[in-house]
Amino acid sequence: MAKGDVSGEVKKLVIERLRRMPPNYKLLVGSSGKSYSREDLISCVEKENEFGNRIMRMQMNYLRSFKHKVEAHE
Amino acid sequence: MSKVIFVTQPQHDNMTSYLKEYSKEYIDFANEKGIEVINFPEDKCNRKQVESLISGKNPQLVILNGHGSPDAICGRASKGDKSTKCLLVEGEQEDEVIIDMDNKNLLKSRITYSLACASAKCLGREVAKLDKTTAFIGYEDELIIITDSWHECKPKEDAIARAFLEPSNRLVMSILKGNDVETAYKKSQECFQKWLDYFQSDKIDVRTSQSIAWILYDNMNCQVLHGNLKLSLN
Repeated sequence: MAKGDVSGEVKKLVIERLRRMPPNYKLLVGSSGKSYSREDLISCVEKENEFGNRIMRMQMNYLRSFKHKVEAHE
Repeated sequence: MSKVIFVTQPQHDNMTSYLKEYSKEYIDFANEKGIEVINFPEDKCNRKQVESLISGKNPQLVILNGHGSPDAICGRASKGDKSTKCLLVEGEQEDEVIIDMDNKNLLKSRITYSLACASAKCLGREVAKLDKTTAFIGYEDELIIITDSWHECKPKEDAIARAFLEPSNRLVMSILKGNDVETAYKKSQECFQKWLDYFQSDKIDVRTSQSIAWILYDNMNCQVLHGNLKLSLN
């Protein structure tokens, strides 16, 4: 996902979901050992940097799978 | 033949501290089963000592905790020695590379479980091709965990982190019980799914569910198994 490829809707959705993350939660990333707070994650998504794009891909993959799961139960 | 397992336990940041803390569960389990466990703490997790240990002790199972990349698995934080291979991780921090394409033969004819990020993507695939008695389980993308900062000093009491690391421990325990790697992989995937179902259930508030489920789902999907599926410690 290159910068500018992300739809504004996806970005807004992901940021809104991240805003709901409890402030005491931190993401630890195994490749770097870096830790991200909720604010760090939102900033990465806003900037559409490499990790921000990764977050958006992960969130959208998950939401699509969840949608399939819900549809299968209907 | 007595069973020997080798575990690297670097510890120089939050991620490696969590991995080390949770590895104690399967090390205790292995000890109870009479399996010889050789575990290397931070200082010993350098390329030379790891190579020497694997060649000399010939462990059937190698568990590599640490940072990584698609073609490298790291150990301790670099001591600044320019003659050692390193991988740039966080900021200016570099970690020593203990296994890469140049010494991957060390993992031939063994079961390897690597928690180093993305190492299953290239290195793991190549290791699995070494011969028919080799298996490599790992992650094709970054392993990400969520921790609760209120419990960082006591990772074992961090109920959120447990959801991410229990599936990993389940895999190792299953191998230690004598199951083949395919069964162990399935057990681990089932454990991921159990936690995913839990965080998608009405037992959990929406904020928590929204914060956790997407990462668990990603970790579950990037865990892969290469090589001989029927390999076991027996």
